This record gives sequence, structure tokens and C-alpha cells, in this order.
Amino acid sequence: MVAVTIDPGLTFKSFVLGAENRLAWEAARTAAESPGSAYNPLFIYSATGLGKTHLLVAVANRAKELHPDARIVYSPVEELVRGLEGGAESKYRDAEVLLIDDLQFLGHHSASHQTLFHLLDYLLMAGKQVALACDRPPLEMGELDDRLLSRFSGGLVVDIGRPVLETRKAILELRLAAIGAKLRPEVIDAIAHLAIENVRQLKGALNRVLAAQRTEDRDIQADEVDRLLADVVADPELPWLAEGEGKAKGEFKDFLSDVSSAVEDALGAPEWRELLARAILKWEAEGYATKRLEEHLDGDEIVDAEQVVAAYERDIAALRAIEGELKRLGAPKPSAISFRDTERVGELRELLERVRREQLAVDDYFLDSEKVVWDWPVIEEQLIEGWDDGDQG
Amino acid sequence: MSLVNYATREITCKIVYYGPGRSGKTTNLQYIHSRVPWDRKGEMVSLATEADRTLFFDFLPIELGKISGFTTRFQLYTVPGQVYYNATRKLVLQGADGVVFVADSQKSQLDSDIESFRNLQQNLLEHGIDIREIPVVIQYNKRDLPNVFSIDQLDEELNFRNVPSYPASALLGEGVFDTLRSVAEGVLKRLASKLEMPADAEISRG
Repeated sequence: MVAVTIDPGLTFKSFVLGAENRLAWEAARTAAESPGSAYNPLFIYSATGLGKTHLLVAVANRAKELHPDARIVYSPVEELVRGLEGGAESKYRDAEVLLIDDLQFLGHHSASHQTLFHLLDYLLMAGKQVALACDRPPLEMGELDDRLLSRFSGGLVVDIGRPVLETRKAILELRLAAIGAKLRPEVIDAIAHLAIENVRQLKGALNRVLAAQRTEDRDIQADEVDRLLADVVADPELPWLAEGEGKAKGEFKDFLSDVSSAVEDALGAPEWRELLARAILKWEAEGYATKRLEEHLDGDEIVDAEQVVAAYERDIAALRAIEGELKRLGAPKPSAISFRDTERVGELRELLERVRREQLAVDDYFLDSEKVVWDWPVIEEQLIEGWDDGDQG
Repeated sequence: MSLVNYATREITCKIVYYGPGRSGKTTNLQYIHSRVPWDRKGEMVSLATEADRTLFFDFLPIELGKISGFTTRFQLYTVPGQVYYNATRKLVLQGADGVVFVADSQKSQLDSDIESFRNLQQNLLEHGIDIREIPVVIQYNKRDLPNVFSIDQLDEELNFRNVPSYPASALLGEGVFDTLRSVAEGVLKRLASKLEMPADAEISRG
């Protein structure tokens, strides 16, 4: 039987796991599933509100589930000491699993220490599982009887750390799911980012935001979270923790603006990049595709920008010459090929050749008097001579 | 080492807050953390002793967002100030792009300040860095307390290299961003001079 009423909702499944509490969770689960076999006693310590009681109660719930007939006792230490001094020793001695919470309230009475020592000694010798929770490690518990200290430390002493960001988010999401409430994801993020490391306070903060959402009958936005929870994060030594976001944002914004200028200066400095950037701006403005130059600008190789730009500009000159020539020959403007893309120079050269061939096919010059086909270069030369003379037929 | 990665278009700068124990290094980072919008900062990680003194280091990553097409990040670290954690200090200092030396302005702390500054030079040297080659900014913290030396007196004792120095009361948030801005600009200026170097300059190739 379980001696005191405990919350059946506090289970291992409902405990949000993170790197900071995984060891304590694993050890507690082992204690619940195989009582007395390992980690005996199990001593869990942490700052308040991080889940010590949750784990102790989870041990009780899991042990009860696996061993329905076992006697499982969960008790805060003050109640246990009162019980022992009031003659209810058998209630604890008969336990298969004894879970003692809030050990920091044990006090300094040597009589209490002695009574507790005898109980623990009896249970541990009998192979019964003992788990203890405290807000500090055994060595920091003050003037403890050495024998009692040795009993506390004789199994496994494990701490629960403060929840990291991801754990805090998971706690908030689990809580929202449990109560069937919804918040925008960025609002959950904003709450999780606040310096709230106590899980109870974190849940309290969540409740406050939910209450505001209900009262105002609208979705709370992420930038309202700081204002709503200013006093929750307040620290008398660090007054700015609770300041409104206006000043905070302004200060960061100014900093960001200054640093941005410094980054721009830093990145704008290399001459070769400036040369490329100038060429891109110039040719882009004239409607030419500059992808080829941009690839060099964005690449991680330092290039000879003068050479790259010169090659690019040679291709632009070729594009312009081909465009003029095609126009002069009266060829229709190609719909599929752009005269503004240096990557197409090759295709446009081929097109020009084709147009020239087609025009020559119907020309008298195509065959000589003996019906022999002239070589194309010869025909071209003749054509060029003809144009030079102004005789373009 | 400051990283400009043209392939992924990222800039990452590591800035270390150095100084004697209890001079306010962690408070500087806490203040910065409180000012940075939540979507721009990672979690501040502090590894502290039970008595709340920094045991290992604090770490605060800040995303400055895209600047000139580069995702820019600052990583702020503190070192443990206590004398006996020198190995940790040396480790944290490795790869630093800039250093903020947080001095305690109180008269009673001058010896600790001087010793810590010497320790900084020594540890940089052991990483093969001459203190003159790396951007260093000095912050004279705790200006809100009585019994502090004047800025001139502190400059006389500590700032013989004439690096930028700033008065601050980190607990009140005063001077914290001035200091950070100064070291950040120093780091980025140094970055610019490196980028002007030829192909074998320290540019990450992704």
C-alpha cells in the first residue's frame, strides 16, 4: 500500500527529460523497477522546483504499478521524524520502498538523526529500496552525524541541473498539451528564453501569458512576453533583467547598426571584390546577365578580377558585334537567345554563321561559272569586299 | 580564430572577457544577454560553483543576422578569474579574436587587476600571440562604488599599451555595450586587414 496520497500524474513519462536530469531519471526508474538492487540509497539533490519530488513520486507510482502488493511509503522528512518519535516506526520499517522528501528540513537534533540512522540501517540491510531528495548534496547538509552522512552517500548521489532552453520549451509544450491550451510557437520560444530556471515558476509564467490571452481575447505576440513577465524574472541585484523591451531593443539595435557598418567595411575592403562588384553594377545597369561575375564574387577563391572582368567584357563586345551583324543581314531577332547573356556567345556565333549560309544559298556568287562550290571563307571574303565597296546588292 | 567563410557566407568572431575574479565579467554577459532579442541569442551557458563564482566559463552566442549577405555571429566567453583556474583560462583564450579585460576599479583590487593583466599577456604568449597583435579593450568596471581609482590612475597602472578603455558599471548596465562595440569593431577592422592579404591569407575555404 502507499501510505500517503500521492499524485498519480507524476510519472516517469510526464517528466521532461534533458541532459541535465537524465541520470537522475534513469537512476530513479531503476530504483522503481528493481527496488533494492542498485543505487541504494538513491540520493537526489537540486535547487528547488527542478523535479525532485516529481521523481520520488514517479518511483512510488511505477513501483506500485509493478508490485501492487508492495508497501511503498512516501513521506516528507518532518512527517517521518514525527512518526518515528511518535512510535509509528513499524509504518516505515515495513516498507519495501521508502521515499523521503525535503531532507534539508531534517534539523539538527541528534535524536532525530539517530532515529533516522537506525531506520535507514535496518531497511538497507534488509535490501529495501530507499530514495531521498534534498536541496543540497549530503556533504553540504551541515552538522550531520558521520554515520548518517555515510548512509546518505553510500548508494548513488545524483543532482538535477537547471533546465536548458530545449528542456524549458519541452516543459511548456507538454504543459500546454496537458491543459489543452495553445500559444503561438514564437511565444513559447520567447517564454523559454527568459531567465526562469525553476520549473514551477516557468509554469506560473505560462499561466500568466495564457490568462492574458484569455482576458484580452486575442493571440498574445512574442514581443509582449517580456512586459507580461517582467516581475517573474525580476532580480533585485540585476534590475535591468525586468526592464521593458524598449530600452533593451534600442541598445541592441544601435550596437547592431555600428557592427553592421564595421562588417561592411571589412568585407568591402579587398580590391578584387570591389572591382568585380563595380563591373556587376555597371553591366547589370545595361541589362547584361552578370551571373558569371557574381559566381566569382561569391566564391571562396580569390581571383584575378582584372582578367575575369576583361574576359567578360570581350564577350560583351562579341555579343554587340553579332547583334549588329545579324541586324545588318536582316535576320529576324532570335526569340530563344538573349543578346544580353555572355554565356550565349557561342550559340549566337553559330546562328550568325547559319544566317550567312542561308543568305549565300540563294546568291549568284554561290557557284562559279564552272559550277564549283567555293570554299566558305572565300565567299565570306568576297562578301566583305563587297560591303567595303558599298556594293551590298 | 575569426572565421569568414565565403562558401557558407558566415562570419564568426570569438570574444573573451578576461579579468580578475569578481570583476564583473559574467555580469557583462548577463547584461548583454538581457538586451539581445530572444530570437537573436542562444542560451547563456554558465558553469558556476555553488557559491556562484564562475568555475569553468560562461558562453553567450549572439546572432547578428545577415550583414552584407553574411550570417554574422559573435561568441562571447568569460574566463574564471580565480588564480587557480589558469589552465581553464588558457583553454578559453585559445582562438580568441578579441579580448575585453574587465578590471575592478576599486583601490583594493588594483594588485589583482595587474596580476590578471600580466596573466593575460602570458597566456596569449603561450598561444603564440603578442598582445599587440590582438584587439584588446579595457573596461574599468564598478565605477558606481566608492573608493575607486580615477580612470587616469587606472590607465597609468594598466593601460600602458594605450588600448581603448571604458568606464562601466556592469551591474547597472552602464558601459557594457560601449565596451562590446569597441572590441567588435577592433576585431572586424583586423578582419578587413587580413582580407586584403593575398590568396594564402587566413580565409576559411569552407
